[in-house]
Amino acid sequence: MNSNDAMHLFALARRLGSSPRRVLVAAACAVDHPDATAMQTLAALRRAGGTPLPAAEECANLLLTPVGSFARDSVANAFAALWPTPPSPRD
Amino acid sequence: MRGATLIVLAWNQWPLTQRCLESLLGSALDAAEIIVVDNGSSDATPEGLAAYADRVRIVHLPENLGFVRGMNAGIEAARADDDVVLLNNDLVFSQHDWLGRLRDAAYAAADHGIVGCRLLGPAPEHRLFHTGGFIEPESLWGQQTESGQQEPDVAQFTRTRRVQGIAFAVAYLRRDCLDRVGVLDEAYHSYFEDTDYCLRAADAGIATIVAGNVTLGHDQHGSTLDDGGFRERLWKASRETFAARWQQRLIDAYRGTVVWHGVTRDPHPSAQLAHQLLWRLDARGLRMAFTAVTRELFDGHDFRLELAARRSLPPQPEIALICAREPTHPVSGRYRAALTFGEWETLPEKWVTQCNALDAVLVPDAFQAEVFRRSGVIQPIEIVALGIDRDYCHANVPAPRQPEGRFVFLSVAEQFARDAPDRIVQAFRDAFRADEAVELVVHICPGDDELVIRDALDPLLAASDGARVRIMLGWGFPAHERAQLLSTADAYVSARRGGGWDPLVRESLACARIVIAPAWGSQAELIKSWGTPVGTLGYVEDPAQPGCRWAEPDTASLAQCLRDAFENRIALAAQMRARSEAFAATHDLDASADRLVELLATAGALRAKPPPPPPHRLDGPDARVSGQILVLGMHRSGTSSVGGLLNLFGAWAGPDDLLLRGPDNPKGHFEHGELHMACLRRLAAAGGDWRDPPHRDAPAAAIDAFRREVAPVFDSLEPRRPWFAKEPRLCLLARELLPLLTHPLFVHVVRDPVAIARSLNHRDGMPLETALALWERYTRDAFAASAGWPRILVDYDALVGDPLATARHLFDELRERGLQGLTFPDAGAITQWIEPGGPIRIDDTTLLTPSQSTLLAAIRDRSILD
Repeated sequence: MNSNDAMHLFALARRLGSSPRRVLVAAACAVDHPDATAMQTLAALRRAGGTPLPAAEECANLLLTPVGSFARDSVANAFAALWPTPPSPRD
Repeated sequence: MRGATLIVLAWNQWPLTQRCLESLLGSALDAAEIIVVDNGSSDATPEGLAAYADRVRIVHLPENLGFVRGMNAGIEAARADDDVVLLNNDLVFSQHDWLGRLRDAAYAAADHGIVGCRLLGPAPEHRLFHTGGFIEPESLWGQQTESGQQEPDVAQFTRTRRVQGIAFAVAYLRRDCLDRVGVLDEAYHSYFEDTDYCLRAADAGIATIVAGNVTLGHDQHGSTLDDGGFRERLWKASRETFAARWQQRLIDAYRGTVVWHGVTRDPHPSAQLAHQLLWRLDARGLRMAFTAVTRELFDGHDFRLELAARRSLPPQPEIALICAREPTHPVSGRYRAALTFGEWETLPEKWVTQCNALDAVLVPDAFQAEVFRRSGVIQPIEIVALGIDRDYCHANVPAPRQPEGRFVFLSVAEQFARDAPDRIVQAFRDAFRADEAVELVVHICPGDDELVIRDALDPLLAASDGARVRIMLGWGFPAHERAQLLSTADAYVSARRGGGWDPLVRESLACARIVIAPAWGSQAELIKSWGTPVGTLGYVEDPAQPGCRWAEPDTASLAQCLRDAFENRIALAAQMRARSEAFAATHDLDASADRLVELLATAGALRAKPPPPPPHRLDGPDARVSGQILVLGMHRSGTSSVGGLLNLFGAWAGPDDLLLRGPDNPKGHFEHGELHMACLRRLAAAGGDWRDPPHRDAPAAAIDAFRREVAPVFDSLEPRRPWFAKEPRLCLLARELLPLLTHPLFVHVVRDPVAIARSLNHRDGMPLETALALWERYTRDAFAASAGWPRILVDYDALVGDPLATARHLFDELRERGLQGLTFPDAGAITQWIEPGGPIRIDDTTLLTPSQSTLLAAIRDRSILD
């Protein structure tokens, strides 16, 4: 995975309100459903359903080796998703 | 104020230099001169610098001589007595008082000589590029941070620390360090000259430190970008020079190889210990190699661990150390030990068998020692208390806060059975209503149990619309953000059944969070002393380890603890904040590393540690004194008498109309009135006075204000060297004034402590015990301040007993120290000033505490001066 791929992954995770790692896990799950379209895969990801198989976990972990260490999450991103700042009264 | 010459080296890249100068000139530059060395620039630099000629001194070099010769040209041009600060031209001085803080750190100890700071990289990320570094001897890869990574700035490494080396992008060099070590070595053109300098300084006993309270911006290599490989060629040439000089020495400094058999994948505590302890042991002279006990994907966030994993493994290393989930991995080494802990009241049989096949078992506390012994381990068991990494875990870690102001409980769940997150959710829902401003965040760590935990919690959350619970699933955070995670909450809550060593509760305490946890296992004493204990309901079996039992948390007790913490949140938060520093100081991972090295060195087959060079001192035979004298002595110890003697010798205390006189000393104190008032205000600003001295760590603002008051006093004395300053409160405060002085000399005046105490009792009604404690504080602080500097000891009892001989002795010592401009007065003047008396030493040591007796003995035999 090169740095452009990493940026795409990060951006996708952010758009989905998810984390890079979860996107990778979901992508690994999607391998088991080769007939699914990209949109169906994303929908499945949004639902965050399904239990990743050990192989999927391992696949995600593999991508989180040093080369893919950019896929680590950050506390700031996690809490920005958990605690979105409420709109100010002027908004 | 101690002068400093700031040397900015520029070679082309005028916009960078201009930005650097603008921000530099906008910062506080007391007693500083700026020199810009133009290293033969061919762009707009020469013309651009001309516009700054009224504010900076410019040294033009005919061509680019490289970093080393360019900086040396600046050092040569610097004012003779000044300290020197080497600066790159791609710096941004975003911290106004950076220079004062570096100067403070430089003079915080006599053996400090080289001071660096934290450096942040360029926008937009502003990652932490530099925190003081190390060089790995086998590969000679120099690193600028302990982890070798450029981490986001999470307020890590904000304390002052000793390091192997710093990058000379910012380097404060004390003048006495330059005098001793010399200039940068011109065998280097650029690169490696900084590490070389720090190592040469270390050979001379001079410490390199990083002032963690200074953070500047640095566009690394801004001046040599886009250079067609020029930089790489320089780097390689310098590396060869460095290798020839240092590589074998650095390799030989290792005392033996230790193979760490462990895991690296967080969040298991064993993995955390591998990340945190391994490099600390390496820095303490153990050649650390790493091998994983299970098939795992290596964590690439740790450069030092990666280096250790790449190292060759000798077939029979001096030491094999197991630190894994289970100490059951076969290892070979001349000495084999396990750093381990269990979760239960008795251990699995397999553990016992394996431990008995080792030479020793190292456990973190007495609970674990008892469990291992009771379970049948017969090999030696040693306790190594495991602390927390204070450079990451402290009360000022920046973290997101709940935007609606809710009180946040945080729980971290890794293993379902051990961590009992369902109990926490249940207790939380029992304790709070939906409309209360409180929230529970459960972070489920990525791992084998993450979906099991979620499946167990989902029904609990769906079953009611109780108080708000937020689940964080699927987020995996790097280790350097763990303190941030903990600091997002107001309280950390645990319901662990397992009794194993839990770093999270310790890190939470260091981050000044309220901690609620069962007082059981390795957490028993900790939680009783520092946290809120949750009750337990006896033992239950661990389903994964038949026959092994752990403690079942009492959900009702947990709910009550949560409620109590919420009700008392303001008081508890203040209490934790006040106590966090004390907690961290007594649970320090560096102390754990020291203890581990001590144990391994004692029992293992390590080579003896080479003796360190003697610490750098300023009182050696070639020490210079400048004619600035500080007279230090406790109240009523005779400092006024010695001040009068110095005055008779010709040293100046200041204009007569500014010197104090009082009813208790009608002949005069020889105390400068403005210095006296500055001392009064300094102690008051920190909440104390002479009778009740404040805590030693005063607020930086109070120290700064004090220095600003005293600097003009010293400046006014400067034209008439030799001069002296005398004020009993200086015993407590002299250390803070070192940055204002150039080669000072200290005269310590000592007197029998019981006589001092009786005098204070007579004059101020102070109880003897209090007065003696005060004497000890003043005396210890005074000698600590002058440690390593030229100093002379004068015994007041001897002075009164034989004024002429004692005065002669003092005079001769001052002359021997090289003090110029003094004359010995006639005998009549001395005996008129010091009226001879009989022996007045009381020598009633029964009133002294053991610590006071030790101090007095060190003064009497003068060993306190060593």
